[in-house]
Amino acid sequence: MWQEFIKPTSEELAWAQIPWRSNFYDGLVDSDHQQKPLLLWVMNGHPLGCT
Amino acid sequence: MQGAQDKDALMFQQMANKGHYRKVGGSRQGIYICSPSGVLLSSVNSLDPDVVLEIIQNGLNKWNELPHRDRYLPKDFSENIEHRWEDSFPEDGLILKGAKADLLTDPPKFSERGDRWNMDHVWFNKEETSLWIPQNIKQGEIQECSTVIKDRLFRFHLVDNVRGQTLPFAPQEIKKSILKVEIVEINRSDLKLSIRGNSLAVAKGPWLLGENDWTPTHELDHSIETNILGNAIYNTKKEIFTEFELVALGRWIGKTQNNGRHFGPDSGHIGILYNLAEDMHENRISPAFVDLYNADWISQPQ
Repeated sequence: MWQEFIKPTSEELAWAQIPWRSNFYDGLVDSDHQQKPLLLWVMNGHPLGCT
Repeated sequence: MQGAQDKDALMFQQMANKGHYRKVGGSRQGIYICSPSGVLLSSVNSLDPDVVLEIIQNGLNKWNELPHRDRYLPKDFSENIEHRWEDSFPEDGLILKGAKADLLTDPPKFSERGDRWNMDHVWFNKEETSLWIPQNIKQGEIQECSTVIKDRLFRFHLVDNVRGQTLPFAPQEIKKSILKVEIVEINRSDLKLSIRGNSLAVAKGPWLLGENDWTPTHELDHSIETNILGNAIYNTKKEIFTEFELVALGRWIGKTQNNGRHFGPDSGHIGILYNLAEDMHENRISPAFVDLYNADWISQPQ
């Protein structure tokens, strides 16, 4: 009962659909190769649940 | 990234100094849009998705106006990175992903779910992972978990960070620490385990963990008490957990400097859930308090 409530909802986990890189360097390399700007998320928590 | 001297860290620091905080040092949290050359295009730290979307759009617009020569990594840029906490990721250990939520009703009502939740990861290396298993492999065998496991959970992870970053506990602040694992079933190489326990951590008075990134500017007065129930399956041949679920229901009292409780009640109930982390990039991010972990296998910066 409780685990289903504590578990984040699919809406709360929407951000996880993005294929994140877990460090800045890899993001910079991909950004360079793909010639796209880089979005850097620097947070202790999830993007729209700022901590 | 805030203090390292690697090229990517220096690029980030220069960029962040021009970002939404408009100052050198302090918190760097937020969303940054930048070019691979290190040009900051836009940034914000906001809970409002519309504001974040606007910042992303602004960044994209500025990217489209950026001269071609500014769209590439600097030629001398290299991966000469001296230290990242993720380098200590225990490939053959136990990685748990955690979720934290406020429990506002009993029984829980989804209509009254809090407006925030948080996540974290727990790392155990292979040797520590084996310490979860009772030494005598026999159905009905019950073993108290080792101190290293209990300290890992109770000092660094069963903490009130639902609404914001909080502080870990010192060893002497763990006042109650019970965690028992029972072998309830043996099926070939699979051990079905039941996990039960409870804990009490109380921080009252001065900070006891020395001078580091977490050192608060105030004396402490907060606590958390939990009851723990879980189950897991451990494969003795592969020496890995194939299933793991641990639920801790607790009561927190008091606030810490940045845990987002300042405008709310002085105490409340919290739910914490741990499951096996899937093999995904975002599940390789280090635990929040990895720099203070009770583990000598965590590589520290020189």
